[in-house]
Amino acid sequence: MRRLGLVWTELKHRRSQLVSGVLAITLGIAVIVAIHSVTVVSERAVAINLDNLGANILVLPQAANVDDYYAADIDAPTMPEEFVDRVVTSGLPGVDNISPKLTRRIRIGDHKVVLTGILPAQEIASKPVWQQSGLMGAELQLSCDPDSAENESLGYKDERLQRKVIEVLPEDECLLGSSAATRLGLAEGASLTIGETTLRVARVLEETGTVDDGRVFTHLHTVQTILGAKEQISAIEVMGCCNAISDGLLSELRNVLPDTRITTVKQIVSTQIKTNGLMRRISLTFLIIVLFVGAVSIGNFMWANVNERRREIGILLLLGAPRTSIYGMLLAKATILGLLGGAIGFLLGSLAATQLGPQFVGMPVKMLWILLPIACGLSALVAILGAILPAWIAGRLEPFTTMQEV
Amino acid sequence: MLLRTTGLCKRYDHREEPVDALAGVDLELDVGTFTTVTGPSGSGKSTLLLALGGLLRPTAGEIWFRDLPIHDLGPGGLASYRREHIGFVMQEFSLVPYLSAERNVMIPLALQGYDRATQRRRAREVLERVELGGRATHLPRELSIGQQQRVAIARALANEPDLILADEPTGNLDPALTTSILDLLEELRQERELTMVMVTHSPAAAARGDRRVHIEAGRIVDTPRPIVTGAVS
Ligand SMILES: Nc1ncnc2c1ncn2[C@@H]1O[C@H](COP(=O)(O)OP(=O)(O)OP(=O)(O)O)[C@@H](O)[C@H]1O
Ligand SMILES: [Mg+2]
Repeated sequence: MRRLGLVWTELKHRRSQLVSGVLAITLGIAVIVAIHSVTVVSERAVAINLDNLGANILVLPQAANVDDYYAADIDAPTMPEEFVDRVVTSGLPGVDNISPKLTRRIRIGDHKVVLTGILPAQEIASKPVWQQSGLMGAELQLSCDPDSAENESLGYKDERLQRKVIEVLPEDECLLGSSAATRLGLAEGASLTIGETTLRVARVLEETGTVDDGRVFTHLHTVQTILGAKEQISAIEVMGCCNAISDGLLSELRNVLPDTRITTVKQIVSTQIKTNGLMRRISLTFLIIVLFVGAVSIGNFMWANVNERRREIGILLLLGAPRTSIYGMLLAKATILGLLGGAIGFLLGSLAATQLGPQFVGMPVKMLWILLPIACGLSALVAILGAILPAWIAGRLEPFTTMQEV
Repeated sequence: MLLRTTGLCKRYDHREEPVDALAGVDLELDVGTFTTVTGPSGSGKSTLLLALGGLLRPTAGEIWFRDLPIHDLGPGGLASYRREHIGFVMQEFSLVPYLSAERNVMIPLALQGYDRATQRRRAREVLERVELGGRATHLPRELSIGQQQRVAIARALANEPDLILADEPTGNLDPALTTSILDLLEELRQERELTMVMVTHSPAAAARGDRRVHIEAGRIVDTPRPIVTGAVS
């Protein structure tokens, strides 16, 4: 029988106490892990947004909420499709491409998806106004914003390129984001019925790690019919050249479309950066609170445990256990509690982050396994700190007083 | 000579007034002898046993175990003295509640550093000896009080000590159980040539000793004062 054996047996014997012993630290670690997991994703998203969409301008109805670039068009109020023509006819320099959208969250069977109507490039190009203004087929100026190899390695595609690819989209076809396809259980070639409209799945898009994964893209006019919103759109995405944006494209656009909200991804992202900063500070504050509360709670638990075990500690001393082995026994117990609390906290926090996180950041949140050893280490450290005093007092107990007391 | 004390004193520094629990005890224990200690409550019997067992540091005086000065040992030295030479049997409930009989007996062997197989084998042996071979895996609460006390005796014997210190080992047992436990202790003592000191309130139990020591107010008195109330012997 080794010391650890004794610790284990005692833990098993007083199993119900275990919960109260590790509760505080488990919850604390869970919250930290959850916040951190979400913040990491959110920060990465910001970086990618800036890289990929730095030159994009989003035109939204006046009343739209612009907290999240990707979700800004979802359920936004609408504006007339005619605004597109206004931009085109204004002949503003620096506009590379323009893409009107109409987006709504809808239910298909038991699944929520985001239905987004777009005008395929070819149709925009074939509009008489387009041709007049000579914007047709204007190629993307990659020099504005070279695509980043790092993002590609992370599995994110340059979305300007990807969206540009949608050249042709008949009104009876749709494109599915990868997670929408999985949820609906549809593959390429299958058919999708929304209300009275049946669409053929022309393509399943590659995973982008954004809300786009949950979207069903189809022709703008089809969506307008489905939603009964003739000639209405919820957003216009304007791809401008960086230089043009700094040269005042934004304010010129505001002159052309006075009753809209015009914003760049940089502006939107800046609020997200602020949110991330806030999350970091909350994380840190929480960390400090957890350190305190966790240590105090484990200390308190260990103190109760020592009191309960006075007689037992007396017996061990009586049988010749050195005091160091009493410290060792109690600190080993605290360490086990800490590791346990850290591991469970990590799992709970990760679960919360992966399940609830996407609602906050609008993209999938992955488990950060690297946090497991950190959580366990931190929690064990806190537990040991909390247990030092009770263990020290236990080691100083006089065997005879403990034998006589009970 | 196994153990000798000279002028052994123990003063408890109590908040109000200090208590002189031992006030100069001179005692000699020869190898293989059985000494019984009697005395009124609070006279210092338990304190004497604890001092002999290296569980508390005497305020004055000396304790020699063979040529080992127990009064001079530090905590580590005292712990190893207890592990190697002393077996304690306390009144009752001295088993670790969440460990089986066998594992309770294994504690002193584990503290001695024996490997697990040896711990188990020797624990089984002593449990057999106290006729509890079939109860090895029982928890203390699954044993009768008498059986618990036999486990405690087995545990005291497991590390083959030289000196058994028993503090009212039959204090709460009924007469039949008392006799059987005392018989067992006596058999084991003779079989293993152990030296034993037993504190008891029972005159019958005290009468079993080769040597009887009576303590009053921390001092050994030669002739016990007759017990005034309810005297039996
Ligand atoms: N930790 C302590 N602090 C202060 N005084 C103590 C302490 N332990 C014992 N005493 C006192 O020392 C004296 C001797 O106590 P001890 O326990 O040795 O008596 P005892 O002879 O074993 O009594 P009993 O027969 O009731 O067990 C008592 O007066 C007791 O109050
Ligand atoms: Mg006593």
